Amino acid sequence: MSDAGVLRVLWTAVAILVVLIGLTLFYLVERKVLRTRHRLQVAEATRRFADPDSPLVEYLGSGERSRRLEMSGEGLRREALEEALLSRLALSASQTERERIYAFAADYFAEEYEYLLGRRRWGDRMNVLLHIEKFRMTGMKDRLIERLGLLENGPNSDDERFLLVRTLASLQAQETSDYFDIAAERFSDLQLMQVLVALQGERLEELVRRFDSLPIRVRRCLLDTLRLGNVRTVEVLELLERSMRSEDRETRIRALKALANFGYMTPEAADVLEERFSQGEAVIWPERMMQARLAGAVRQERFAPHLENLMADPAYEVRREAAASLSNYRNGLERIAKVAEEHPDRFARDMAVETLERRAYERNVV
Amino acid sequence: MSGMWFDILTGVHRVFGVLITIYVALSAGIYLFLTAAAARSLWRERDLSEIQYSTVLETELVPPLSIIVPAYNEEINIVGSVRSLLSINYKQFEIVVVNDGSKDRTVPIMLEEFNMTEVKGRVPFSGLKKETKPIRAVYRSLRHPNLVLVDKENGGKADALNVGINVCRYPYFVSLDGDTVLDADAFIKVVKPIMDARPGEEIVATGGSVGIANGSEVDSGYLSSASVRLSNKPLVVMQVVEYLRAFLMGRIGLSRYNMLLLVSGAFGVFKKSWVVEVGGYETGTIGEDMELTVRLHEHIRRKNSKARIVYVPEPVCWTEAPESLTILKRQRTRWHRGLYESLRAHKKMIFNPRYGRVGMISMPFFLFVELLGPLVELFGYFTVVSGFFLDRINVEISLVLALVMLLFGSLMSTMSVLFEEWRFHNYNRISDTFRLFFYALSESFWYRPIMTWWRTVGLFEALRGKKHGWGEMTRVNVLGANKKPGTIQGAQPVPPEKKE
Repeated sequence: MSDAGVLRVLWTAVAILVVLIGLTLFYLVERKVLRTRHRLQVAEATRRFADPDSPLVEYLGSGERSRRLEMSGEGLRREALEEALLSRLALSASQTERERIYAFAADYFAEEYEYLLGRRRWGDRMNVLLHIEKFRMTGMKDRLIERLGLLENGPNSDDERFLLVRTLASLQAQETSDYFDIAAERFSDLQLMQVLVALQGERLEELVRRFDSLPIRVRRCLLDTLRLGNVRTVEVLELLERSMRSEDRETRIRALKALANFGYMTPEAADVLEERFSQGEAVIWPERMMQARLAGAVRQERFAPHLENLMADPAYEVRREAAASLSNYRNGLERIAKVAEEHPDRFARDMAVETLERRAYERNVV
Repeated sequence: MSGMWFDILTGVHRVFGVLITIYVALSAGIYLFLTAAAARSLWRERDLSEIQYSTVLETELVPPLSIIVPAYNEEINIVGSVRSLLSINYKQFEIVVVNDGSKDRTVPIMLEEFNMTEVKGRVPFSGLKKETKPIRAVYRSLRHPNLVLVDKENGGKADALNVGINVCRYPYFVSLDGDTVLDADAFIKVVKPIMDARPGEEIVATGGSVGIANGSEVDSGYLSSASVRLSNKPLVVMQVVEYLRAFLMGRIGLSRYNMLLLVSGAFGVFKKSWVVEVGGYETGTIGEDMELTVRLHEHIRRKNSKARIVYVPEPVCWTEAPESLTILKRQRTRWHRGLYESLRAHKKMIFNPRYGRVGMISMPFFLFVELLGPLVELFGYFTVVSGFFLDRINVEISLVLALVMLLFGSLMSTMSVLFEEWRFHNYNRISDTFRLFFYALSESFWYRPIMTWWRTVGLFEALRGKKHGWGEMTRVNVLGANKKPGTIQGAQPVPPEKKE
């Protein structure tokens, strides 16, 4: 190529680059301006809603919708209203106020959300799902199920699938359980639990009833969810005690942990626990640790010797748990003091001393 | 006679010219590719709402974390750092402060401030095979049961981290520099990939972006995005652009293809079992964070595992950037020496198909573009100047070509400013955007040549075998110079122009 040809190519490249840089700048500034405007609107919306005389405050107090209320969002963009309402939700504690905000949001946003759910942009769809969840927009249920049906099967849509199912669960939709199979296959444990934790009342009772028909991963996560949600019914107790005898080790561990949190077990289950204790190190240490925790929670005299044994366990975590459990017992601290002096195992003595120090400190502070 | 010499010189010059052209074309290609990969992922996630985190944070459904904080002569900062860590926005965690044989009052201050008593039974129990310096004592706070202090003999930062790994309880640990300022939601952001891992998919490590705190207001150890401001100092703004580019372009692209070679030492989450399997941190290196990440990759490949090392674009921690040229120079030459060491220690992976993409793409990329780039760039300048004397250069073409390459570099930098705006919009004032943009444009004309020179100096220092320990890392570079923002630095080695 001649020098002149090369030069021409190069100058074209320069021109293209300059144009690209210029466009980038233009786009950047446009976005910044829009964002600034948006921030002002949010501030404006928050200000309007905070005003004691505002129609929203009036509505939240009385539950009566005035014409003024319908107009209160006028001139504001959806995002500004959303943000102001969300911050209101985060602040206001009373159930009625929340319900009123949900009702207001359902009226105001439903139409636009339906449209946004079908948008091509992934970020838009995700954002709208998060908002539907926050505003508990039960009316959107059918649209969500429809979206789930349209999703591709590939892993690329798993993020969206998860959020759709979690939203369904938070709306207490009965259809949520239709997606447990795919959820058990695709979702992580923590994602499964986020779905399960959202289900409450009647939905939860139903899950407990049909526990055995659920996929194994869902079962394990459900046990954790019951513990975190502090669900205390006869059915749950029965389920936990049954799961404590499960073939699946993971299920047993989680059931023991949940039972410890429950703080009560039937005499039959206590027999099972005692039988397990006698198996010693044939049981892996996380399970031994949970057994120790459960024994500390139910405080039955017959477990005390086992706990003393566990204070000499090879695993630090088990020793610590056993000591903490034993100190809950009547005369627990004296027993631990005895371990500190007389136990043949050095680790058990060390753990006893450590526990005594901690308890002494707690007595002084509390 | 002189005619023959002239011919030889001309011939050599021609070969240089061709080699350099190929080099420039290849590295420009790689940058374009990384930018495209980053653009795809950021475009998809642009303007994603922050409430995705608040929903999860309200529940207790987060994996427990062990936070390891190595400390050496930190009597001034340590209490503040631990206080702010204790109040993090996260449900389940323990803090393990490892005192690396400090000569000051780090230990007594900790003991007194947090009511700590000695724990005897807490023997190291994670089974790291590596020899560590002996532990003097382990303490636990009576007031905060999840705060542990390990007092050990001096052995360097890597050794302190290894001891921390041995003592901590949870399956994932966080390595943290003593003086890192955290984003209020840092932990949940970094842990999200672990929470979302599909069944059977394993996450070995995750790391997030590091931002520059200069000019912002830090509130009791935290910096939330609302209080981020752009500094007034040109040198700092330049580094902001540099960090944005390194993190938002380089790392997103590399992480997408599981080729990420560096999880920053300033803030990274690692799966303990994997780190234990590869033998923990290597002592006596400068870039122990990169070295560990490379070794993890090696292990993943050897086990033929599908495990991943993931990068989260969100800014999770903030660091104070050097504001003076002297300290900046020290930082950059040190980073370059660290890069050299890590690559040398794993040279068998380079161009080794057994290590897959990491061996065939990322390692060579780091070797040729990152490590040798500055040298090639200087060679380029030399070729041009010598070409001028050999009368083989068309001055006009050279200048225009130089302009093209400079503009290309600037375009890459401005794109990274745009990426920031898509995803995080931390710099809210329009004036900040303008300043970022124009500094990004100007980079090729002053900042880049300085960096090129310093990095070359670092390369030669590394070749000469200069070594460094703890002391320099914490005390001399007080401005947080022991952070590594990323080794992907330059947008593009400036071209060595030549004419054929």
